[in-house]
Amino acid sequence: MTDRQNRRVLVTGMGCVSGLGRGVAANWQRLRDGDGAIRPLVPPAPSGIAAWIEGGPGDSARFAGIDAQRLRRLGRLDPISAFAIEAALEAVADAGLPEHPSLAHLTAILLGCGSGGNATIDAGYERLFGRDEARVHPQSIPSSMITAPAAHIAILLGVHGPVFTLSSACASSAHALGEAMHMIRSGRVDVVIAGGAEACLTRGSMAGWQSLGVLAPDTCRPFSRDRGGMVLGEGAAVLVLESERHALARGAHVYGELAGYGATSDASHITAPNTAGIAAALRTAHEDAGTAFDVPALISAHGTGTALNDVAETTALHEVYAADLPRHRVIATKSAHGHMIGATGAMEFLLGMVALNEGVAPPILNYLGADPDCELPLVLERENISPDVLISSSFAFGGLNAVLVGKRA
Amino acid sequence: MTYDDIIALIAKETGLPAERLVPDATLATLDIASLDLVSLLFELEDRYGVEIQPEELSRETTLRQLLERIGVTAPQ
Repeated sequence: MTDRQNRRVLVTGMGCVSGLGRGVAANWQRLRDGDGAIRPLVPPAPSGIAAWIEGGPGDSARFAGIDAQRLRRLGRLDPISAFAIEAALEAVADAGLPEHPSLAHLTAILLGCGSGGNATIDAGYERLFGRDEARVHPQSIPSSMITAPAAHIAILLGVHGPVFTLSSACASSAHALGEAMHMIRSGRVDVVIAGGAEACLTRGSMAGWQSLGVLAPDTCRPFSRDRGGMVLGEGAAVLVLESERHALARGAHVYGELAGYGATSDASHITAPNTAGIAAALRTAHEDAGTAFDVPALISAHGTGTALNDVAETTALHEVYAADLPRHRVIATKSAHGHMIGATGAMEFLLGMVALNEGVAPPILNYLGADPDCELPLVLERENISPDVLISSSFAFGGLNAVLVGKRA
Repeated sequence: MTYDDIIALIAKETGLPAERLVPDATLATLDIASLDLVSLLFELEDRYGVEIQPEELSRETTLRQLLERIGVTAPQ
């Protein structure tokens, strides 16, 4: 315990881009105001609804302050890389770390992505199978590889420490933050640029999701009666995590602490959620953070809005918190920014930390009325809150669960 | 396909500002990486039907020589 206290992991920078907007301030304002981003896609995007990003992926004009010679080395950017870079540059600037000597050798980059460059892969297949062309673009592989966004950020910022991407479907960036926390606790690095990105609103990816039958026809209604499923989003969320020693030594602004992480695998079914696995992840995270179950918390639920997930999550929350559940408040921000797949765990943790700092819980949107199987202390209207603890949950396909515990500074 | 079209394409594929793309610059002095070069050749073939194999070019090839091979004339 003493070691762990010596290596507390603090959040010192944040950045994001989603259907709600570009940058943490814009995202938070729309979330707080209940102004969701889910709407019909417009051509040339495939038909359907999603929380899509107005203006699409950023270009080099948005990467302010970056040396043109470094930009040249990135090659072609799939939207997933453009989103990741935009969020990472915001987070690193927010942390006051650009050009900091620690970036070179005391820093890691760990991103979570559910898939790679879908637009690049779609474009290649369209050439091959749609137009019967023999060749695809020479940069198809480096642009679409799942680790490209992490590598791109490393090249731009000159990070020479450990840099990689991990993938656990819809929990990818929650796992990335949790594993990043352990990299700092163990003393491997002082800083981790951690988060996730996804750019899955392409024809090929959307067709896959539609065929699976989990997408809502109208909108995302977490824990509501008559909920019709999930709605996809896109974008990236990146946080700067830092050892307490390093952050204090340079006088960094501190948003709070990433205090605990619980990761479990259901080992039961490739898509169906499992109450025992979810409950185990919640309990493990609490234990890791040293946070009792009765300490009032803001619970940022996985809350996809699918029939099965919301019931399984509700059941697990009752199992874990039992009589203490009414002490907590439950939010479900996918109703605003959509399911950002690999990016969503980091996005929800980031927004939850802002909510703790602001003392405001954002409303769950599109709620039609109670489902007796989803009785929870839901935040249905924006409300002022006072918890110091955030519980941010991600329960992914494959039965891969990650729960993060945040604490206000 | 004009001289300006090709210069704009080279600028896009290499990330270089167009003003650096003077006729006597070589691929070496412009520091055009092989990845950028194969992407440029791919786009030339895709858009204009001009097929050039990477082996036809060297680090010492000038933009003027490349433009002549493509079939546009650089200003003197």
